[in-house]
Amino acid sequence: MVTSGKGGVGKTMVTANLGVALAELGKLVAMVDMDVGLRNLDIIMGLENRIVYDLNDVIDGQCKLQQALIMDKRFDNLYLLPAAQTRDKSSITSRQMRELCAELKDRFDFVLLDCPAGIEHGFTVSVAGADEAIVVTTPELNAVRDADRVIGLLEAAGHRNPYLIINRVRPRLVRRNQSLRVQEVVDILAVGLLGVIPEDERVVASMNLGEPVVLYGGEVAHAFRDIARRMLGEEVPMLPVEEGRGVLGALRRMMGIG
Amino acid sequence: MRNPGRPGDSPREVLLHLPDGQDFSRALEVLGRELSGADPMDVVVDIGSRKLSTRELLRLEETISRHGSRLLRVTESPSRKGGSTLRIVGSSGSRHREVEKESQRPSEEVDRTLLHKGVLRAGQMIKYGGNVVILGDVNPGAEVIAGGDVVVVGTVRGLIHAGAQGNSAAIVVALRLDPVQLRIGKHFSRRPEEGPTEECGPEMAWVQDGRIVVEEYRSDVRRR
Repeated sequence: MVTSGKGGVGKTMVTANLGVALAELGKLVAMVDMDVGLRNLDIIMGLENRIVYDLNDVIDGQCKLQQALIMDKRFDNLYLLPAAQTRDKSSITSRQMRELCAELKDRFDFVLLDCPAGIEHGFTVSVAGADEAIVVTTPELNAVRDADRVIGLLEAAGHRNPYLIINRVRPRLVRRNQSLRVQEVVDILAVGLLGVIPEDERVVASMNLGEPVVLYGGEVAHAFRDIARRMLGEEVPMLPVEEGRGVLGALRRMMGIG
Repeated sequence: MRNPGRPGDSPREVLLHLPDGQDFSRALEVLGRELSGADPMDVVVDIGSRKLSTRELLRLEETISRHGSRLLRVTESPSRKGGSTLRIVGSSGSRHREVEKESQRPSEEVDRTLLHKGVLRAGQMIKYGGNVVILGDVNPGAEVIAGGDVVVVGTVRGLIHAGAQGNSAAIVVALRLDPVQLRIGKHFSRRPEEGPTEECGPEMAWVQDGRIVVEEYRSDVRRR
């Protein structure tokens, strides 16, 4: 599951791009939009016009799982299970989610749950279905506070070792001491760092075009491909995102974190 | 062993007993079996005259949530001896945890020590009548309220209240003290605006001449 507590830190963007990066590596991937009533993932993936059935239809037995899964336009090993737009989050129980996830896990190498913001029902239901958790935050005090809260709740639910992705790191602000450093965020949250993603305008542009930014290349794409490889168990050094491009000292320092 | 809740309660509320004189892990297993296959319920656990550590409380909650149910609260039935009540309050939905130790006889309670292993995170609170030792950080948004001293083997960034029942002789020791707010007895101090000081050794906060001072920890500190 991909979660954050605070909204707007990039959960859906991270889910979409991880899905694509894992699919590029040949894995069979399903992305599930858990944000019932406020679905987004289909838009970012550019698949909105293909939706016939959704998550709630599957859970209510209105259709079979394979009828609701939408194959990506670019990869035939990447699928999306969209959220219902006209229902609300209380329409799914933890037990139903556990059963659905068990079915998905049987068929796919990776099942990515894009959680809604907040720590209410939608979060609890996602927790019930998930084996592992990725917490997304930005290097801002309020986002880190919410991430910390979420990690506490995840720990209480038995997710002892959630992973951390720090999104929208701005090297210039870090250099001017106007932003938290990656190391400071990791110190506070005390969980394993899975990746650091730099701020890039192209992310916004790509979301509006329905084309995940991984497909564009560049530093952000590089960061996501590295994260995907780490998820497959490879040891990949962290990009020296904070120092801008190509500073070797920073690379060495950040490898110590991972 | 399972008593149905009042009719009309939704979801169902049940009371489960954790029998005395049984190994904790064993008792948890039994409790887990009780819950397995049952519909999601709000569970109240009666721990008898047992004393649970924070970690045991976490395991208890984990066991119950693993079976899709929710720990509503823990009650004690102190039976013979008087003593204290220990309860977890889970507010609906957010599963906010509050470990609360209320003492009926503070004098006894104050000499006890609660050990918490792990980071205390935003939204988590430890409230205990005695001393509290935390092996881990206390993060912003977390609170520790102790009747006695507080020792944090880690960094304090949240709120600490030592000597909460008015004991101004209580002390706070931490590897690094950078709290949002520090209270000792009835004294109160805020973090200075200029931000954290440079790295140094373990630090200690105590009340001197009516105000809280923070200084380098010395092992020869003697309580007045």
